[in-house]
Amino acid sequence: MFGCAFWQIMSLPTDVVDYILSFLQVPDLKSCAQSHPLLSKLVERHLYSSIILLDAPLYPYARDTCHLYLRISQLIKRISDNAHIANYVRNLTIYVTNDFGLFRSTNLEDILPIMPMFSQLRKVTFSDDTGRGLSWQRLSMKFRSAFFSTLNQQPLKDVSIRHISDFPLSLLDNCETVRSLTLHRCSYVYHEDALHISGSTTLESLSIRDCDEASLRSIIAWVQTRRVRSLEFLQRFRLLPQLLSGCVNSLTDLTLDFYHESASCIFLIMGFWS
Amino acid sequence: MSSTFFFSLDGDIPDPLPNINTPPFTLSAAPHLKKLSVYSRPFIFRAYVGHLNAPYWKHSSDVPTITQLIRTAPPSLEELILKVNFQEEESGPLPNGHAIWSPFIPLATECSSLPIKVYLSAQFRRMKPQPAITSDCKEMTRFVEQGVFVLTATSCLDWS
Repeated sequence: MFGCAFWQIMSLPTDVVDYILSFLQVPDLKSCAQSHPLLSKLVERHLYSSIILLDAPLYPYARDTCHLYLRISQLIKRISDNAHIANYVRNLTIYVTNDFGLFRSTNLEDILPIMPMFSQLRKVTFSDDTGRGLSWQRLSMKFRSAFFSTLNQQPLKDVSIRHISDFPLSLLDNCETVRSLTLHRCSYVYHEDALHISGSTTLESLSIRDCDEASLRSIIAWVQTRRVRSLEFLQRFRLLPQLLSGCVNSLTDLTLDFYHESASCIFLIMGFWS
Repeated sequence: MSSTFFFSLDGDIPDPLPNINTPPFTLSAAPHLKKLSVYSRPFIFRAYVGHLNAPYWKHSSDVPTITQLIRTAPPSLEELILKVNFQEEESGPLPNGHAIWSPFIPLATECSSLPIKVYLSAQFRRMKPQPAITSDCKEMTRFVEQGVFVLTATSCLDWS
C-alpha cells in the first residue's frame, strides 16, 4: 500500500512534489528522506534549507520543527560526504550554548572551513544561549574574520545578532546586500566611524529588542547612515524619539511593544506591595 | 504607561475616569509612516474598590496611551495593527464585554475620524475565541460592523 502511494506521489511532476515538500516540517522531511532514495534526494533541498548549528547538545524540548538542529561536527561530516548540501542552506543559525567563561571552546572554529561553502545563504543568525551573553571581542580573530566574509556574501539579506555584546556595527558598513538587521539583547554595540559613512544604503527592516542604552546610542548614530523603512522597537521607549529622528525620511512601518514600557511600572508596584 | 479603568460586574460606564499617560514621543516624527503595529497586554481582574464599596472589574491597559499616540499620527498612516494579549484571572467569572472593550472605544472613534483601519488580533487566557467576541459591547460591535475594527485573529491559550 505504501509502495503504491509512493509511486503515485513520484508520478507527479517534480516541481509539484517539490512544492508539496516545501510545506513539510523537519520531522516529516526526515521521514520522507528515510522512505526512499529518490525522495531523499528531493527532500535534501528543504531539509537543509534552515539549520541551527549547535556547539553542544540542546535539550530536545528546546527544539522546534521548522529547523534542522545539528552539532557542528555533524554538519561538517555531512558536508564532507555530500558537499552539494551546503548549497541548500538558506538560513543558518550559529547557536552558542557552551559557556566561554568556563570552557575555552574551540568548537566554533571548527565551522570555519565550511562557512565559505554556504553560497546561497539568505539569513545568518549568531546567537548566544549561555545566559551570560557572549562578547564578540572574546571570539577568535579567525572566527570573526570568517563571519565578516559571510556577511559580505552576495545573496545574504538578513542578519540577526542575539545576546552578543561588543558587536561592531561597522562590520555591516560595506554589506550592500543586507536588507534586514536584528539586534536582540545586545549590549555595548558600537560603531567606530559612523560620521564617515554616506547615508544612502536602504535597510528594509531593523529590529531592536532589550538593548542597553550605550548600544542604542550607537545604533542611533549608525541609523543616520541608512534609510530604514521598517523599525521594530521592542523595549522601553527611552531614546525612541532620537531613533525616529534618525529615520525621519524613510520610515513607513513601525512596531512598538507597550508591554515593555508598562511592565517596569507593574513590577515596581508589585515590589512596592510586597 | 498603562491606565486603569473600573467597571461594575454587570458591565456599565467606567468609574472613575483614569489618568491617561502621555506617550514620550509623537508619531509626527515619522511623517511617512503608513503602518503602526502595537503589542499590548491588558490586565483584567476583579478588584474591591474601597470607596465604591463594591467589587469591580479593573482593566489596566496601554490602550488610552495608544489612543493619545494615534492623535499625533501623520496623515500618511493607514493601518494600525493591534496585537492584544489579554491577561484575565485564571479562575472565577469571565470579564464582560464592557470591561474588555470599553477602553478601545476612544481609540476606534479616533481611528474612524482620521481614517485609519484597525486590525485587531486578540489572545485570551480563558475566553473562547468566537466571531461575536464583541457582542456584549454595542459600541465595539458598531465599529466592527463599520469596518473600522477588523478582527483578524482571536485565540485562547487553554480552551478545550
